[in-house]
Amino acid sequence: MLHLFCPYCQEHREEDEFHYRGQAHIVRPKDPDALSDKEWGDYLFFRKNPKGIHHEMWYHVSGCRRFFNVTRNTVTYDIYETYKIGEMPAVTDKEETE
Amino acid sequence: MSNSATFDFSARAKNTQGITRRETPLHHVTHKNVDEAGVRFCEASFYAHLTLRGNPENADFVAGVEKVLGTALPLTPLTSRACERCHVFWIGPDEWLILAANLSPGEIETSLRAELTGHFSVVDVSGGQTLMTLSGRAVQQVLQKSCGYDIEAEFPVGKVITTHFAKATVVLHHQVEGSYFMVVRRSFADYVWRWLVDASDEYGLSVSE
Amino acid sequence: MSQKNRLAQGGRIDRNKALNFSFAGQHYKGYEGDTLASALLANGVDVVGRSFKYSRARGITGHGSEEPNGVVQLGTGDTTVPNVRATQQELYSGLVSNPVAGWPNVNFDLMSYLGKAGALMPPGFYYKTFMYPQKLWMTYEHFIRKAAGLGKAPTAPDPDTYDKFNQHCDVMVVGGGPAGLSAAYAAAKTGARVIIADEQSEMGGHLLTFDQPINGGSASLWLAEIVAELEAMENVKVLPKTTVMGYFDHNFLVAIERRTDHLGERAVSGTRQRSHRIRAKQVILAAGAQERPLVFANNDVPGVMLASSVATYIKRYAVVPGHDLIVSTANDSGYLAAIEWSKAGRHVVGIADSRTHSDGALVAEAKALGINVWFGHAVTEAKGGHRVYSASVAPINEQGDKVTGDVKQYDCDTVATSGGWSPVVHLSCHTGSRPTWSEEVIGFVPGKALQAQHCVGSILGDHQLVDCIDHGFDVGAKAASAAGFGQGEVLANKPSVERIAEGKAQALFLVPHKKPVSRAPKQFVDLQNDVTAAGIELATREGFESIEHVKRYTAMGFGTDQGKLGNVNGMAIAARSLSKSIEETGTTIFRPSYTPSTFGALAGRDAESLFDPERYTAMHQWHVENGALFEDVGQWKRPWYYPKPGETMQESLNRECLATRNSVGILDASTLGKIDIQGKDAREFLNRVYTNAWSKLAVGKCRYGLMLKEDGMIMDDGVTSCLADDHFILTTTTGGAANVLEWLELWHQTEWPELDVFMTSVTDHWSTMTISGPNARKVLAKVCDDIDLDKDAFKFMDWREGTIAGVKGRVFRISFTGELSYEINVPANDGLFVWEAVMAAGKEFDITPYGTETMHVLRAEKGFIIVGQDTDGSVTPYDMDMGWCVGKNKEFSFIGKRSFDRPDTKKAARKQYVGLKTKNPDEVLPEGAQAVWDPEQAIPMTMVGHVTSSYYSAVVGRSIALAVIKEGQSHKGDTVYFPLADGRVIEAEICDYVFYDPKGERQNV
Ligand SMILES: [Zn+2]
Repeated sequence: MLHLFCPYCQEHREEDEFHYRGQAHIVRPKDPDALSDKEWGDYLFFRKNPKGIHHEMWYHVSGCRRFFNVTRNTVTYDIYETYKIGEMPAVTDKEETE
Repeated sequence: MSNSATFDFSARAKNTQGITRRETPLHHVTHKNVDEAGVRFCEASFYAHLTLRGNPENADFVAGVEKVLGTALPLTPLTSRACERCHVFWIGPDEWLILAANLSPGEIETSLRAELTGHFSVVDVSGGQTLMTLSGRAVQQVLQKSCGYDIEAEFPVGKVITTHFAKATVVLHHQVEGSYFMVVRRSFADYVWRWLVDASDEYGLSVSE
Repeated sequence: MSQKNRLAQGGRIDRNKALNFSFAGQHYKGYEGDTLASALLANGVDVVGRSFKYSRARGITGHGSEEPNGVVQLGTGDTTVPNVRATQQELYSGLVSNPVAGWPNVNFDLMSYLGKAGALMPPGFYYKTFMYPQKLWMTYEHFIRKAAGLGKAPTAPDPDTYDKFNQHCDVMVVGGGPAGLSAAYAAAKTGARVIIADEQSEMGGHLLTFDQPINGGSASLWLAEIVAELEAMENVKVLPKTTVMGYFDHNFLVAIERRTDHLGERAVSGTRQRSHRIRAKQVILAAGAQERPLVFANNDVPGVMLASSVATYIKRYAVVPGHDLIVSTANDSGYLAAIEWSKAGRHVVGIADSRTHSDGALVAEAKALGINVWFGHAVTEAKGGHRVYSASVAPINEQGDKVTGDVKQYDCDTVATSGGWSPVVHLSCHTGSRPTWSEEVIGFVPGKALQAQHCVGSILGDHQLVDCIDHGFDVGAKAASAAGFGQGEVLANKPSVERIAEGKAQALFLVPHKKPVSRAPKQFVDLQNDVTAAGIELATREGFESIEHVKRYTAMGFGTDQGKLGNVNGMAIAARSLSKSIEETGTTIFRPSYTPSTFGALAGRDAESLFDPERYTAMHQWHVENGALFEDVGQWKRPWYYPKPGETMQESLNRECLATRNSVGILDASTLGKIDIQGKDAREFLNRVYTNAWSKLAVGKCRYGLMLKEDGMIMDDGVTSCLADDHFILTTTTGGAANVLEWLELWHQTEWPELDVFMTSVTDHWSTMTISGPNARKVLAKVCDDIDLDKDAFKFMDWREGTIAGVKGRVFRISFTGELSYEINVPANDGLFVWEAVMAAGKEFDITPYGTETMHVLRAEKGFIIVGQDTDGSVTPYDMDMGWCVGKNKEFSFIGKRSFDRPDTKKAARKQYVGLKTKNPDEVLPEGAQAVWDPEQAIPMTMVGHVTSSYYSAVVGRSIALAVIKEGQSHKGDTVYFPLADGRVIEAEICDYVFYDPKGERQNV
């Protein structure tokens, strides 16, 4: 069971207080109707499935009811950082930033 | 901004005294006094419960709330404030829970709406939840059976957390040394009560009004 | 039978407390402090089970959780527990135990007379069986289960109580031997919160067997003192009888404490087992090491035991499990068995030491006692059936792979073996860390720590007591410091312990025989699964080169002991057979649980009526008192229907439906999700999350809305009402309430934080009761005099504030039945009172409470959808013929809108919402039945849709059903067929989904 630091409550809580909400930093297109079917399909369905560093969203449902971001290693389950919505990660995979 | 019409339930209570009848979520629970009980339980009936939302960086909002409630808004995560009129709990970065024993929710709501400006929300949730108080020498063991939170070391007097109690979500507050407030949603109250009875069994449970 | 193997003195047992117990129907006596295994050995019980595959007699081999043979069915009736290790079960008065294996009994085994059972199950049996036709597996399974003796599960609910306890600590120490105790002590002295757990009944580990002086005095004295001091410290929890069964992410451990298992079959009071859920800042693994047996021919005959177990039975339990002992060892520690045996006054035939020499202290001590020591020798074969009667001792070469001279036979009844010590790496494996091979240790040691974890003591191959204690103190201080306590400084007053001279151990995994492995008598590697050295060699010959494949092919380590004894030997044999090093072949990984755990301990109190929250409305007690049967909707208990005495379910439903259609019914609708939404941008927010438009909804008005996911599929629905220009109340389905709130928060917090809205759940605050039917207005008028109920003043889809039975509330004129309906909302503390007042007011109209089933029928008669029943996350509003609910011209591209234009969403051949009338009007289609156009077609048929809702409608006078059928809207009047599993085919006509009052006039009266 993971132990997550909620950046709003400012302390660690047990995983069962949270919901996992998938990949972070997906921005809804400003004008969906202007997108091609392929572009819209990419936004709708395609998600990263990295082995290693992953930026993902969690929801502190049985807590402060805030969404926040987590940088987690999908192999070791190490959590490198948690940060608020609107902020960018400090820890990134090298390939990703290139 | 939100200044829509709301109800004054205290008016109803006054006008129809003796005609209507109210039931707390745990009205069916039998009281029993057990002298040696390790756990002491009480449902603190008919408190006013209100959810307040607003921007803590808005000084007018913060000052206005303090003026109405008589106590400052707790702005630090997981803290609480209390005065003679009410308790105020930090729930989230823009959310607080107000509990008052002797004020009607309508009074509080009306005063807040009269005082506050800008973007805020105040919602009466008095019927939707109930306040339980827990104390006794074995209360910590019962909480350890029920909550994954580190009650032993990370929960000093004054702190308030929203967390799991068994499989229910509750607001837990260390009120005075060894005595806890627990706010439970109405529909979960019976489940939480039955869990408490079970978890307290080995220590003895006293239930007061 | 008396306790013929019990010594008159010594041991940590209480001879004043004799306990009666039984095994396999025979009655015996033991003492308090015994395990079932020590008591059985004291009574001279040799055979405790039959082996899994070859059905050979087996006796007790070890003394702890590694025991592969002494696995029993404990207790009787409801409290019986299968697969309990006799070596870990403390004896209690009246203990009843039986062998799990052995059919029909342990001393006369049918299968061994029926023929060579092993021939039926060669190595690879499972693998091959699984690969061949599945049908055969069913046949095999029956046979295997019967023969294998996997134990019996109790047939009635367990009457005992199990619970969970959440613990947090700075330093968690696993293992209460000298290293663990020292670490716990040093950590505790810094003020850190410490938990130390050990699976044995008392702390001490190896010190309980091996009494080496500490501080110049007895080790047991030091042990008693340090345990007492730890127990007295407020910041320390000492948990004996507690097995850490798993080590999970972020230093989360689960430990199961056996609280009453040592007292009796049933807990007289309190919790039988408690599962501690421990979140630790730092973890110290001091789990020790497990002695490895030597693998030689017929090494499974009762009387062949681990050398450390022999010593333990003598020292700790005052039981000498035989008369004439031969020790076969590859290291010094094996000598301890012979020394204790000799001191107990029984005969040691000799010690066969595979090494050429050793200058160790134990070797010298054995020699001083006059015990024969044969260097360069090993026991190559044991002889016996139900007990060893002789052993073959042969000289072997220095490499340990060849018999070099004449084999001699020695009479003996016990062979104690030691092949070395395997660190207990299980818990570190649980974290995903792969163990690494150490030539120096001759064993796998924990791999790189992946969490805040430290190891100390013999888990690292440090077997010297002085190292265990010394390093224990250091690691304890270091871990505490890492958790924020102290500077990691070394305590000054470390105990003084002398280093013992030790000869170098030899790596010996398979003792050679004068015949090759394939021809020699069976050399067992895994006793519980009957895996032999020959079996492993066969696996490698058949091409299985990965150690994981060898494991699966042979089933090595598959048993309830997880191969604690055999795995390392097996991997070494596989490596040799593949001409690789052990390092190259590696090891398999251990997973939780370390030892078998009871379901009770895993479930805790989350069982029966506390399994999951049962949510009640304020009127629940009334429903109970008025005979309602309940339906689970999510966690809610909702009235399903209210049968009257003698009524069938259908009769109740007909009565409830007709009462509502003809007069008035009442439904407790409190469970509907309700979300209060405030802020100047509330309308805009609603525009974005709903399909329809909200810009013009006036105060006092209500509107039905559909919520989609971004893929265009229906997610939820409900009525939203405008309380003020910046204040709305939104309702959701009962099951969708929490999800919808999370969904709205998701969009607000992550995409549109600039919108000024606040959302608050008020589901529990409002009690909701729907009165529905032609007389609904008359009933409401009797309890409400401050709302103008005139049909033109209070129209359909309006809401009003008012007083109902003296209680301020809201009344919504909305309808899910198609009848004149009012939804009354009052604060829940008043809910029951108002409900009773409405019931009293409705009495003259025979107001009828109805439940969810009638609600379903009434809405189905009107063709109203239920999200989650008629929709399944794969239908759009257009599929459901609800295009009227989509605001195509809204400025903002609401959630899901863009997906309407995806090729798949807009294609013609989608399933569409229709009604169905069965050809036989009394026949009710099963929900979920699949539709086909042609029932005569060959199987597999082409399915074109399915039934989503189906009922008998009293008011229509026939069965009705709703369905989604491919292009169904253009097939009205056509016939579809529903072939059922029982062979029947039901014929139905596709029709409109509105079965009653198609013009919708009744709700507007
Ligand atoms: Zn939080």
